[in-house]
Amino acid sequence: MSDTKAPPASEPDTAETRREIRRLTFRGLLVQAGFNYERYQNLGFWWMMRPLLDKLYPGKAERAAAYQRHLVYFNTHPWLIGPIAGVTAVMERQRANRAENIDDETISSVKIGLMAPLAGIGDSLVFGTLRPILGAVCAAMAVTGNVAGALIFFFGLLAIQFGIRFWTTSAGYHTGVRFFDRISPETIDRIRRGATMVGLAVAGGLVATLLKVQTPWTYTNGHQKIKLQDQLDAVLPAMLPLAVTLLVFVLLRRRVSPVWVLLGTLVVGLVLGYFGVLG
Amino acid sequence: MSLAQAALIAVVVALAYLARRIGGDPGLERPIVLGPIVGLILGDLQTGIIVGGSLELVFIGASPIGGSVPPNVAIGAAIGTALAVGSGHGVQAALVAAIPAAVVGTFFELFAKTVCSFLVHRADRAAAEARGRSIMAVVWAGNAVHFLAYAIPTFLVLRFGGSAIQSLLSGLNEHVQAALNTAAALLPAVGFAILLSVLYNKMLFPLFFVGFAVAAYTDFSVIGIAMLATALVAVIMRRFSSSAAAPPPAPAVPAAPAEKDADSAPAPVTTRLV
Repeated sequence: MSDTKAPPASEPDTAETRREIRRLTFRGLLVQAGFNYERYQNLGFWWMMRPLLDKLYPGKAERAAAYQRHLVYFNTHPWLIGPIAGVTAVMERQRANRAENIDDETISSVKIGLMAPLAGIGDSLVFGTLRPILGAVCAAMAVTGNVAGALIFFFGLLAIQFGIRFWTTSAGYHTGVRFFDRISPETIDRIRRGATMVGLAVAGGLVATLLKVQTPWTYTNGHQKIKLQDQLDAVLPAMLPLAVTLLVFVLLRRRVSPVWVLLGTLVVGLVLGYFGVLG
Repeated sequence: MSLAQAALIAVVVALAYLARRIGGDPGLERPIVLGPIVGLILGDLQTGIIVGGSLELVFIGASPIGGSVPPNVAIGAAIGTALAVGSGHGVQAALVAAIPAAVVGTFFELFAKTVCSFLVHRADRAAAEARGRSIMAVVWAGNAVHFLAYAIPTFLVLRFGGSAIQSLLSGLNEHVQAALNTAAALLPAVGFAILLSVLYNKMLFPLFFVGFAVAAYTDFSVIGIAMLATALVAVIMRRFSSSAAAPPPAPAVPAAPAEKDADSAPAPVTTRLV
């Protein structure tokens, strides 16, 4: 989705544009600063926009209005703040230049319109796909005592994050308010779905490869000692891990709090292990 | 554990969590990263790596999405690793101690975010008079609250709670050891199930079993499945977009977020608790 269209005439030269995109990108790292339950990321968003607002609105009254405009409720995925930052910066610039089609209302509605779908993408792409995949691969390394697991996880995640941040801030800035003409809600929904599909398949793989639930039970058939685990494996490999995961999943779907599920699993595991049912 | 070690670990935990606020959410608080760091501080990097990797699997699905308040993985990882190194009772004991610590740690996160809600009103008053400096003060006061809310409890538990848990663990017999092993083996199931419920979509759910079957019957690794799934999804997506009729024109400035499928998960936005 790279953009080659020239910025609107009202924008400054490219060197300054690049500087502004860079500043928005780095300030976007602090979007969750002062995170609070009333308005979520509002303080961080204001912090990100502040230098631009100070430059655009030297008068006290206008500056106060601009500050208040960006201290309202705001909440999106922290990695995907870029497009919103870019679009908002361009809109503020046009508003300061008295562009007719941009008013406070427009700025707020574009921010709100963007933050929900981007949160949806971020949750399924980053929290639901990228981080679990990287985490699982690296954890498999780490449990054998290999420090590379931790290093690859941290630096890999960092590299991916910075790539996403620079690219999306720049894309948002250059497309300005036409962002939605290029990235339609349908496209956003497709990305979200695609990430969910990959995430689900990976979750299945995690259960089969990294969950080591087994039973030590044996029973005697005539003179033969038979291991229950071998019988289970013949029916379906990793049957117990699958069963346990689906059971926990059903509990979560029934709105049992994850905290209780976690503590409950701990207790059940201790009891079953003590009596040698699982192990 | 010495005073200096406990203080250092507490600061590291608080900074790792603060990175979520002011460092772009880089994943520094994940157990796989924090475990080795805590291990290094205590002089046992190897145990730190192993405990970190094991805890990462338990908390793999723990993300602040959709109204869930995930267990505080940073505090859990630090205390679990410290106990594993200090007690000599290995990874299993560490996992079992880390879960309650992470659950209780959640409380301090809630506390910090609630305190910041009161601070926001000071920012409002400053904004009305265009006093940018005063708003900055509020932002950093909020960050300080977050920092202290993680550092203080971590320090107190490490300094004063460790010996109590250790003496509890010193009476381990064979059955208790087996119980710890089983609990440790079972716990990652919760992480995977939470991940599943985050991604849940009625229509797409069967893909979970595709991933499971491929991994269960072949030697495919997780990354292999990810590649396979990504390739298939890319093909499916292209096919959908090319077979569809002319795409409907997108609104210039949609006031509402994109329409959601009836069966897709509810939009997580308003309840995000990052």
